[in-house]
Amino acid sequence: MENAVTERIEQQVRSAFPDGAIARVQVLQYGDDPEVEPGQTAMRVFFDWPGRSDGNKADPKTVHAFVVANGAALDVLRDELPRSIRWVEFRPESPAGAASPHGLSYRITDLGQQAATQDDVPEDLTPVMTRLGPADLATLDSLITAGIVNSR
Amino acid sequence: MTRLGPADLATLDSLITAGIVNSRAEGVRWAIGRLREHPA
Repeated sequence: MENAVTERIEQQVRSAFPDGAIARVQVLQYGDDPEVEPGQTAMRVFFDWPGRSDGNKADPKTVHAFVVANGAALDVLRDELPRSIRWVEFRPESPAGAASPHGLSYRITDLGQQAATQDDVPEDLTPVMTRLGPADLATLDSLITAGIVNSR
Repeated sequence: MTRLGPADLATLDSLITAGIVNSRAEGVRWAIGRLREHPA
């Protein structure tokens, strides 16, 4: 994805929230983060929160408060961001700019499309969730880059 | 997360009942490992 496009999308994300609410935005391409598949783009957005400047630690309530306060903005982004963005993850910015604890985040997916209704999910498919290491991810990604499958 | 049909679920469950893996998630990892070891 070209820089001009990523800058425009970053601006679109920032403008959805009140001034100063978003501390920084990372546009992630394949290789930037293990969760990004070949050909995908994703975003990680770090938001400011009350108490950060005092050196407090964010907790699940920090994320919940952000989601509740910005529900309308999150809905707009889910509807209006291009489908080429696979997911957008919102994390509380840490006092020193370090990574926030794993799992302390809120993610929106299925961008640019209506949420799937119950009728859209085939009844005979059962969800299975698994966590994969680097070698297994590389194996699946080689199937994507070879054109054998479209996603992990 | 992936959604699997009855045939794929049965394959994973047969790995569990055979004692090869302990869960469907582990079965997926096992299958990927075999794919890596024996590419077409």
